[in-house]
Amino acid sequence: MTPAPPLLEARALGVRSPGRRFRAEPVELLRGVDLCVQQGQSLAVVGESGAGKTTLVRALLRLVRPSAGQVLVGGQDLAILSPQELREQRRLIQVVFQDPLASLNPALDVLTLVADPLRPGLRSPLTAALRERVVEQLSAVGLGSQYLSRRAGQLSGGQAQRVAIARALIAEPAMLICDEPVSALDLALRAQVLQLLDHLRHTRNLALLLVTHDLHAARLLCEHTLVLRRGAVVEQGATAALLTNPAADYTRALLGAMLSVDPGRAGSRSVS
Amino acid sequence: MASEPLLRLQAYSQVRADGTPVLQDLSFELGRGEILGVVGESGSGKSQLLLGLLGLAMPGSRVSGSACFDGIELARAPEPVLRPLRGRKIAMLFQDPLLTWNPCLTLGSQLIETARLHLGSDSGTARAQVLQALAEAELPDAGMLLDRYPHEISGGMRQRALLAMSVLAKPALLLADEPTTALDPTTQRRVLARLASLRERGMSILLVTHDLGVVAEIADRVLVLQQGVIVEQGATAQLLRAPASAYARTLLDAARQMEGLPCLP
Repeated sequence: MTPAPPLLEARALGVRSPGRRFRAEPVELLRGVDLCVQQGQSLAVVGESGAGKTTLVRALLRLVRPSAGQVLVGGQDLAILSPQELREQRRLIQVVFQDPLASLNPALDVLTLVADPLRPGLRSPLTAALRERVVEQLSAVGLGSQYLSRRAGQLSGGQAQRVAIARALIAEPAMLICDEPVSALDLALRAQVLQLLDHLRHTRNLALLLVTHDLHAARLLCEHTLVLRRGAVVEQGATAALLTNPAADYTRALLGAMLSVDPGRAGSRSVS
Repeated sequence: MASEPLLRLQAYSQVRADGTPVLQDLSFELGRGEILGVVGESGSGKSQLLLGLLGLAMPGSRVSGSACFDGIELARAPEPVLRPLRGRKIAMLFQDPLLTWNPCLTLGSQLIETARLHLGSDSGTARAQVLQALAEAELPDAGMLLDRYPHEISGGMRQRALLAMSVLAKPALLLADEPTTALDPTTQRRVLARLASLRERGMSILLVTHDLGVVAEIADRVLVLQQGVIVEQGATAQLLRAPASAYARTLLDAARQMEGLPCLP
């Protein structure tokens, strides 16, 4: 028997954008990115602003058309799927964006927002069964049913991000892609939301792709880490090994830039 | 006298026009060449403290107590006293450089205007002063940067150029409001290193942040604000080892958790 194909795979993925100025040369946003996430595995994509982290997410979801390479979901190349098939594949991989107050419509209530992925349109009836499933997902992210009638604009950042996670979960995905899920949140809330993601991942056997510039978050949540710089992979491997013994100078520089609240280490490192 | 603190607040309070207290009975000192971290949750009055010192408290606010800067009383000071201080003796650095820069003007025209206004230079001298300030901030290609509009450069460059503009007139006091919150870790470290080098030259910095990692990295002392009241102040190392206030402990526990460190006993 052949082993099951990986849940998500990118082969030599490239994305090109037209230059910013008129008739400028196209800019290579991503070059030759290979990555692979198996069922239930977690991968952190780390890098500075402008490294191409979000472009990579968009290409993996086929929200932008790659200029080179392939994206395979469950072994199927997304490029050759019909729109209906693509829609089904997208259900398998749900996304949580950085700023929940921007990704949730502030005028809609939590019930409507979370039920959305299961409804063909906003006019289709919100049945009792649907409501039941929303309550279930909200409780999985630690929110009670009193939140059902709140509008997204009335939620705090932490609550709104939990709602965004519940909305992603209700589609019963095999994988979550979280693009900087905690960097818009107050520091005291970050650890809580990361722990929630970790808990959900293990209880539901979810695969996770975490985009972050915070190496602490990568260490907390992901078995594997990929370091991206200027659109290309600098190195990738097991998180523990990569963080304790980085092969690339760039990874070492990123590690050196992390601040610490440990009284023994704080303020002791220099700029790289 | 060199040992006299640069800034001394005594029983400093701000009350909004509707009677809501914003800051209550603050007393602290900021020494010369010292970085004082101001930590507190959203709404604790951190930003209002900085604005109040510049005489920019919300219209109708009542200010009481004393805020003495280098022998000058700032609390309730009239405009003619405050205006020559702003930008020259006391400078402000905001969190979001995209909101602070004027999007319609090049960086160069804004920097040169600042030099002409605060240093009284003619345009040729001002240009040279700006180029030197950008070089000191270790910004590459300073000449090219002058012709750029704010949206054309990266967020990190924008913030570093903004810092260069804030300290152009070599102010004695820099008020920095979450200056690195929007930056990624490598850029954050560059900005912090620059702040530390300004401190070496004797500048005092009041640094508002909620990132204890930033505090740990460069603040000499820390002050914790909660609902407009100082709940804790002391040396940074002391706060990191044994925070006295519940808020500082919550923040510290969250930060330690992120780093995979055990919680403090």
